[in-house]
Amino acid sequence: MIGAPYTLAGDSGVDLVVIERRERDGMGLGLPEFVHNPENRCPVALLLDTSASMRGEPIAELNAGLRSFQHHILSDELASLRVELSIVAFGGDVRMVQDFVTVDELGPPQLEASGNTPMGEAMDLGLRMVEARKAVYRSNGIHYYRPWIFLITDGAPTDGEAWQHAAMRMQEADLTGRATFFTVGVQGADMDILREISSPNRPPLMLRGLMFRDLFRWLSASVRRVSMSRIGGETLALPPVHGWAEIHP
Amino acid sequence: MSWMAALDYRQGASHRRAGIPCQDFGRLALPDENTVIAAFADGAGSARFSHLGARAAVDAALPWIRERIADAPGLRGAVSRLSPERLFDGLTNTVQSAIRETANDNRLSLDDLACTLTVVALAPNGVSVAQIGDGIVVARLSHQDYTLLIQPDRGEYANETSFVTDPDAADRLRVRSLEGPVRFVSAATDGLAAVSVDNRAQTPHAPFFSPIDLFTRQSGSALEVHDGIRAFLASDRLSAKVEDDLTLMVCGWRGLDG
Repeated sequence: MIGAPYTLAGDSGVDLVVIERRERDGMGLGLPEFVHNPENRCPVALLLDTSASMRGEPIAELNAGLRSFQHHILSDELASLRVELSIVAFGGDVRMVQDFVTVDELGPPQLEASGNTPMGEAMDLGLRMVEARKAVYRSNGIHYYRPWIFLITDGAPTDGEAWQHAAMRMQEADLTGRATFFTVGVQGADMDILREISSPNRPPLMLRGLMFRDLFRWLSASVRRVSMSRIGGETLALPPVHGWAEIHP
Repeated sequence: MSWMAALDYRQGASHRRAGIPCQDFGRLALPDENTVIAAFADGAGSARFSHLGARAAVDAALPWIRERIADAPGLRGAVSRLSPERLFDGLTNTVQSAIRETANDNRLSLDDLACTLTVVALAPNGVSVAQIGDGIVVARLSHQDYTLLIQPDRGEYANETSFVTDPDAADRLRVRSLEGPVRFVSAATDGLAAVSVDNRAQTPHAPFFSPIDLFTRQSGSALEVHDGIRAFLASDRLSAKVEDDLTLMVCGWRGLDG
């Protein structure tokens, strides 16, 4: 609280006091004290294929992409308070590598590639984590934006029928607005299956080469936009993807 | 004894950077020495021409409420003899028609001009408000605490609310009256809600409102109040907290008691 007590000023001092009041943010009797409301949250869940076929350069580029995502979010003060990231890796088994944290608390995980591609289980885990996070927000009185779930794969699901059921649940979540679901195929991905998995709202995108860093730069720019918006993710204009994605018919 | 009332709005930092016009708009008037009316609107970020909608909504709402009150004035310092439901009956239609006209003139759809709307009417012994959307209205009666007159209407997500242009807007209109000796009323668009209302308890944050309250009551003129809130909306300290467009309306009763 700053500001000269206006009422103590004599007649001769009124003009001077008024000028001083203006210099001091308008309210001469002290500035309003803001409520310490936690920032709105913008949850992003990454479902990352770490199967054996990602070994070598692909997994190295994916790790580099994650670091660049973190870097870009941290460069934006508001987004770094609002964007929360979680990571599910599927390769051999399905692991929650990172539960939701704001990006400053994220130690960039070193993902390693091995095993097959249990994509269905990963989608189910991602969806459960998102719903659980929303419940935490609600019980803490925190406002939040529509969660983003981002699936990246270079293969095809290996967990039998599980992926078909999981894909149905994911599409339903997308169509009813419980989350926004994106799918990205990396070289070698079965794009026909990915088209079946993806939401009718958002057909799959094909990553150009191994441009993970460009993908994650786009993702960070997009969630920064979402995290400052007053409108639903559905109608929000996102930056163009042509820098890193090939448009698939 | 008189009202010290002012309203101002300001483009948010994010809109300034992105070259998006200020989508907030508001006006305040004193039809007579006892009555203050104000209307403000917050244009939807998703609607390209919502700044036009906000202006059309306010320009339609303010004369409309002035006439409603003039037609049914209140007794003993009340805003109107009508219940708030009847007082604001017809507001949504009037405002929608005005926005539709602006949309037609510009060959746009109603949705292109989507905006919220808050209307406040106060007299020495009562305050009535109507709202579609997520603005906030806070009042203090003599010797009482600050109360939130209307809860912001929010969807599941932080960025969702209802708009006066929605097909079901008439059903989403919420009204409220408070009777008693009004000492202070402040209203704002969503941009200020995060720093002035406790989310979890859904109560006004008194340390936010009491300095404004004191400032308003001790100001020498409405012009001074206006200068004060204008400078506050432009202050670095507020800009560091809030990126959105801002509207703030304050009104204090400068009388003999608190």
